[in-house]
Amino acid sequence: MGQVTPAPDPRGDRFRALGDPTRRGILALIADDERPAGQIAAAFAMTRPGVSRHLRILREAGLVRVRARGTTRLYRADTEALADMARFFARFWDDGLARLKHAAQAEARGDG
Amino acid sequence: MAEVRRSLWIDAPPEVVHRQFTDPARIAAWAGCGADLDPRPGGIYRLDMGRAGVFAGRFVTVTPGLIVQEVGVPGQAPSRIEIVLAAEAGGTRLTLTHSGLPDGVGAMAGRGWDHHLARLAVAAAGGAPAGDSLCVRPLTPDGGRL
Repeated sequence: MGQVTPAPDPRGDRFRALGDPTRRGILALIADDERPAGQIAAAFAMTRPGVSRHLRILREAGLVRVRARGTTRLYRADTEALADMARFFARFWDDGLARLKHAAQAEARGDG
Repeated sequence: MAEVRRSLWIDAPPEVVHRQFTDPARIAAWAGCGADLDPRPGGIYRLDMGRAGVFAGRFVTVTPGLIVQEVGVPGQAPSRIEIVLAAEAGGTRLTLTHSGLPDGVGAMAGRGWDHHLARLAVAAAGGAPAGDSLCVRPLTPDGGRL
C-alpha cells in the first residue's frame, strides 16, 4: 500500500476531498440543484457543524460554489471541476502512452 | 469505481516496451518528472508527477507479459494498474487497465451529469492531449520533443 502526497495544488485537494463518501454524497445531492446548508444537513441526518465542515473542505478544494440569496447561502457542486478530475487519469494515460510508444519505437530502431 | 482502459499497437518488441515501465530513466521520459522503483513483486513504485503530486505504491506482478501495480490514496481502496504485453504483427499489443479510480464523477446522478459524462467519453476516446499536461514537455506532431 502506498499513498498520494499532493503538491500544493487544487487537484490534490480535490482527490482528498472526494475520498470521503459523505462528501461524495453531498456532491451528488447538489450536482444539479443548489441547496442551503440546513437542507443538506437534514438530507444526511447530520448536525450543522458537521455539514459545514464538509462544505468548507469541498469549497477549499474548488468542488462546491456558494451564492447568497438574501440571508441564505446556497451551495452547488462545481461540475466543471468534477469533470476536470474525471479527465485527469484519462489524460495522463493518453499523453503518457503516446510518449511511451514514441520512445519504445525509437529505441527499437536504434535511435532512442 | 471509475476505470481507464486503453489498447495500442507499438512497433517495438515486447521486451523493449516492457522496460519502458520498469526502468526509472525510461519512465521519467514518458510519465512524469521523476521515478523511483524496484520492479519486483512487492517492490516500491514512486512517481513524481510534478504539480500533480507524488503517486506511490507497489508492484504486485512483474512478468514478461504482465505488469501489475497498486497505487493507494489515503482513505480509499488502492487503484490498480494492469499492463498486458503481447507480441502482435511484429510488434507489441499493449493493453492498459487502470481500475479503482476515485468515483466522484461516476457517483453523480442527474441530467447535467449525463451530459458531462457523454462529452467526456467522446474526449477520452479520441481527443487531443490536454494543454495542461504534466511536467513532461509535449511531443511535436512528428513525434519529436519540444
